[in-house]
Amino acid sequence: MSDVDARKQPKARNGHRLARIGAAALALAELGTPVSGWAATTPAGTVIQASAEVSFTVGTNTLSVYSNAPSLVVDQLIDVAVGAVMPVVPVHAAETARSVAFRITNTGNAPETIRLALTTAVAGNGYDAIPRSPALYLDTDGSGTLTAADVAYAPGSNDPQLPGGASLLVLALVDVPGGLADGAHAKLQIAAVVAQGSGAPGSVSAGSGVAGVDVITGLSGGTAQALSELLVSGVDVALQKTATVLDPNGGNAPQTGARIQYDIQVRVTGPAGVHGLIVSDPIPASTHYVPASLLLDGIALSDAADGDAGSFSSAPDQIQVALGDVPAGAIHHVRFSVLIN
Amino acid sequence: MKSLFVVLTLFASFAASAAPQGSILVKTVAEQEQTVTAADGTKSTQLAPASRVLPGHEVVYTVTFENVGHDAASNVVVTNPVPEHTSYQVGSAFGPGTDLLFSTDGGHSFAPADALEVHAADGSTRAAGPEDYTHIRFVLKNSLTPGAVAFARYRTIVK
Repeated sequence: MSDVDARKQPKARNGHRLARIGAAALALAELGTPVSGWAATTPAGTVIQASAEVSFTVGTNTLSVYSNAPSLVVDQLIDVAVGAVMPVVPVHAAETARSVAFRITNTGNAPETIRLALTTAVAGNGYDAIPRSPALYLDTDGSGTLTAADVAYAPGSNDPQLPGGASLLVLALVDVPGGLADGAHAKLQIAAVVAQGSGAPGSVSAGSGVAGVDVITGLSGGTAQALSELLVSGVDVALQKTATVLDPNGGNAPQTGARIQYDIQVRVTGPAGVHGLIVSDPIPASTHYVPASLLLDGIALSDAADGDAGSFSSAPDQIQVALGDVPAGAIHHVRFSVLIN
Repeated sequence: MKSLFVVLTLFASFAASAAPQGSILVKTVAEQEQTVTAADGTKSTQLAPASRVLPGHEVVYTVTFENVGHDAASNVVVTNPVPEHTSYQVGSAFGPGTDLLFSTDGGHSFAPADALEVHAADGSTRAAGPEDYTHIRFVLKNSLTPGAVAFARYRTIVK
């Protein structure tokens, strides 16, 4: 990975003034595929049978007998869960079309249609985010951000249908009002309701489930909500990574033995500085780090984790530079080189 | 239980004539615990026949085996596959006068719980946990004399 996707550029959180940034790979592990196996709950309608075998000896004969096999039928469980991918999302005043991701999970054991609703006016808000129209998207490509592949959600017409145990990312798309001070916060709420029924936990609807089994409302009551907080922050850390290739023949072919020099430009913008800024970058696969090639603003840093700001560590191979307190407007350059295996 | 007793009695008389050499009658019952509130407000737990379950529910299986033959039966071994879609409830297996063994390989080999290992695809081994068990086996320490009845019990959780 030789550059940084603009959408994945991290932003330091103003409240903590702390940013720990992986230049090439940010933690998007929470995202993943739009529909994924969640927990192996037994599907509604499954028949569970048990029997015992008894073997024994009488005289010189060894015999074997089997018991009956009582059957149990698994009823249909209605349950749903919602979670914010990021509990706190840093935003800018007057930012437009900001997407905020939530994960909806069918924690029941049968396919369910799930209705969604977004609320921007949440009690305790310092301001209310302004929903776009449409305000909710089904994140069909599972990227966690709005892309052309994602589908606008229209309640009642394309309610997501999730198999038991499956989950889906949903994006709320909002504008942030202008003129907000740093630290202003607004919560967004996503509510999910199972279309087949919601009600008191433990309610039973006899015979209305998959294959005629009973439908039981689980602990969620068939409805769930989650909040994500939009925190206005003037602090922004922008990373831009560029690569220069030098091959052994003096050209620029990325071939075996070629040297790639990376330059990561770290730029802190906004009214406030950042405290404790650390830039780390994994060494790309199929390359290895060139020892003693780490530079900060043109000054060599030793590879050991010692008195200076930089270090190289292995398993996994990565470089790390601790920039410390960085004032707004400052620009730093981190450089290092790798050889292509 | 009254109907069960009648069935046992009928089968016993039949088996006694049809299988003079020796026969064991075995029956499995599936039940769930229910909390019952008495008239005075006290609560107690009772077992009730199970037919409908949900993921997370516990099912109590009771296996009753009776020697309905004329001769003593030795080497009595009761083997119960952990039902598909369930996992064994740790510590739940109980059978008076039996040794308890488990299998993690589909019933090919059995060992006490503390001696069981699971072999991973990469060649490593680890101690087996209750979720690894595929079979529960009760080995009767003594012979089952004609007319004697024994039982064993285990619990599973619906996945």
